[in-house]
Amino acid sequence: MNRFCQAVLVILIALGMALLPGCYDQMNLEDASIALMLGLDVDNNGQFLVYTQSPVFSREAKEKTETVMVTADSIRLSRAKFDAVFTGITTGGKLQTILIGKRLLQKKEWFTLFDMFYRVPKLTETPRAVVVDGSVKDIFEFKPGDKPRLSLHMSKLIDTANMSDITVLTNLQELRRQMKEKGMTPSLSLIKKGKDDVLVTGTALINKKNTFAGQLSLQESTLLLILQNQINGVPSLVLDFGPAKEEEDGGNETEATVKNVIAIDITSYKRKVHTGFSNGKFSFHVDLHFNIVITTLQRMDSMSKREDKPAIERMITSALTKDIDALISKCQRASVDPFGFGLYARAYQYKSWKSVQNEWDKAFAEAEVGVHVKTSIKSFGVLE
Amino acid sequence: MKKYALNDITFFQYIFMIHGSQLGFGLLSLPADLAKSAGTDGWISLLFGWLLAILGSLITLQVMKKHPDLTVYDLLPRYFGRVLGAVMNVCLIGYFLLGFFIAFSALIGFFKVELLSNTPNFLMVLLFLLPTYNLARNQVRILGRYAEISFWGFLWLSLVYLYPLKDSHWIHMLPILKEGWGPVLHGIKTTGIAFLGFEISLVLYPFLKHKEKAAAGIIIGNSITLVMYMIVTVVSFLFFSPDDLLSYEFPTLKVLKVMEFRFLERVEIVVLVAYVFLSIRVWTHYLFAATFGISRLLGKQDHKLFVKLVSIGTLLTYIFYKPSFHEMGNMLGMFGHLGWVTAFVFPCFLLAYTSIIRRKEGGR
Repeated sequence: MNRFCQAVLVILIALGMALLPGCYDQMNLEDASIALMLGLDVDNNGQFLVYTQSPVFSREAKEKTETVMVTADSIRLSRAKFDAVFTGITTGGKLQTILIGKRLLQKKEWFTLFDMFYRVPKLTETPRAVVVDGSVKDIFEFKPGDKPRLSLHMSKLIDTANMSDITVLTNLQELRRQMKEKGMTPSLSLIKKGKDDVLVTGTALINKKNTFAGQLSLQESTLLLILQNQINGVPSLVLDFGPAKEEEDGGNETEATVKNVIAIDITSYKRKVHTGFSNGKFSFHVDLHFNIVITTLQRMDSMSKREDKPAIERMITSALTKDIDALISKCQRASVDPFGFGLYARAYQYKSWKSVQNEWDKAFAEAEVGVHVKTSIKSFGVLE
Repeated sequence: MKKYALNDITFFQYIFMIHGSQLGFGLLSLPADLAKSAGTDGWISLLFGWLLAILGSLITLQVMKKHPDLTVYDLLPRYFGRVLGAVMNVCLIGYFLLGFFIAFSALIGFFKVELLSNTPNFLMVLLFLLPTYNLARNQVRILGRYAEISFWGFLWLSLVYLYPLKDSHWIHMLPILKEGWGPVLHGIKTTGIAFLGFEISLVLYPFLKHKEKAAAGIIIGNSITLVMYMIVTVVSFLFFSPDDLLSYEFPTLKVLKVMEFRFLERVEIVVLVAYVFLSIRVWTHYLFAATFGISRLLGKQDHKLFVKLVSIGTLLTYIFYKPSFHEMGNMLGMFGHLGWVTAFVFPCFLLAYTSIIRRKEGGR
């Protein structure tokens, strides 16, 4: 009898175990259509457009990706429409990149479209948020022959561009931080559809009203990353020392093809921000100390000797100061603070910060920002 | 009269049982709870909470020391007489049962929201109850072994939290004491639920082999808990903007969402599952304390039967009762208040009462 009881118990437990796995939440890979890239844009009539691209795992399919565009009122709603088209059930858990049309950024409330990504635990927060200068459609229709799957190419493109410090890397979580943080404004990678390629053109800036406020070139993006203290590896800068004139045979002076240029690698740098408040204005003094390696001295024949080191350091210092000053005043004019100076204001001048925290963009536009650059050349390379 | 000598637990098992009973309730929402009242100064509140927990623990030990071979269930009838003692025991058992139920429900709730949103509640309850029953039906020593092995086995969880530090902003911490001491003191209240669990030593103390080390053990146990909490709190504060931290319900998990390796994404799911192995200790310890109390109360030797009854009761409750996520949050808050009373006021009262009685007896 006892043995019989035990047997019944074992069978009951085995049956119970069969019930226990999360059968209710399972999803077979064959049934899923895994969206790797999402595009958000606005058409000429102000209608919200959602694009998505997913890989196709089928030997018979000629095209290995499927792309669909739908009009919808929210990203979540677009999913139903995607399901109506795609073979599988659309899942967003593996998203790699989200492309945002520049036109959408003109709408004030665009960020509320992203609410879903933070609310639903099943979605990831690692996709890179990228602004497209132009129409998102062009990129989704782009089928490069010499590149891997477009959605993977895009994420790789942004990652490597960030690795070489020519644009910022803002994933959804970072985007939310920058949007919600009172002491800074967001900066996103900016791409553009070229003739036969997609290229990174720099960084898009967004102001406190959540709309597009300007863009930075590749070199300005590097300087932005330096000021944000977000540098990866060794960034390179090319400093242009005015147009060189060259005499043609006839004696006419034209602009030279080969310019006066010094290229440097910044092997390491220190950044220090001093924060002050006086006469109702914030003041920031940024001390930057660069350790650099000269990689190119173009048309600088007269100065290629080691004795000229102080002179070259002075030239580089003044050029860097000029560029950084220009970048900061450009941002101040646009009332954006992608550097996050507001964080310093909060940390070191909390009382004054509290009164302006909700309109930091204005306070920053009026703030005095001074940059003090120091460079020391660690190496001229292996040329005498 | 060494009733419990056969089941004594080692110093380390004692430490990890204390620690294990604490780590669970508040971990997932702690950073947000702290920031709600004290902003980024919340870590100071956490320190104060830890000090209070140690104070409460030491007071408890002072009471238990007087009768090193008795659990609180034997102690109460001895001091207050059979009837009043039994009533107090029932209250205490009720408290531990409530603790079990709430800790258990909270985890079911997390799982429902984060991972298995379509799976019915009672299946998940069944899933978690089976190991719980298997653990809680044993004697203290087995519980102690589990507490210790799960601590060492899941220590890597704290290393996972170093990863988000690559996006950290230490400047969020400044200025320290930005609004003065007021909010910091206010924040201590929320740490109560986080440190609750040390009151388990009311039951554990007689099982400890080397009683002279009890004070050291309980301080170390509390401190390990503090370190764990400090890691998740500080990492969350450094990672999220102070203006945004409050919008997350479980910053402890959210902070891991950015983790992405070539071979693995969504690490927070792995962490959540690993976390079950840790927080199962909370409710099994509570369940053990409660059922052990029932068996004392009824004069039975074995508490296995009561574990069975409570488990079945929980399963039945879950078939009919489906608490919403918010209700669970409220229950957790309510239990936090109740816990302060049980873990602080009750030992203080006991200490005062026993001292007076003893003085009287001495005077006679």
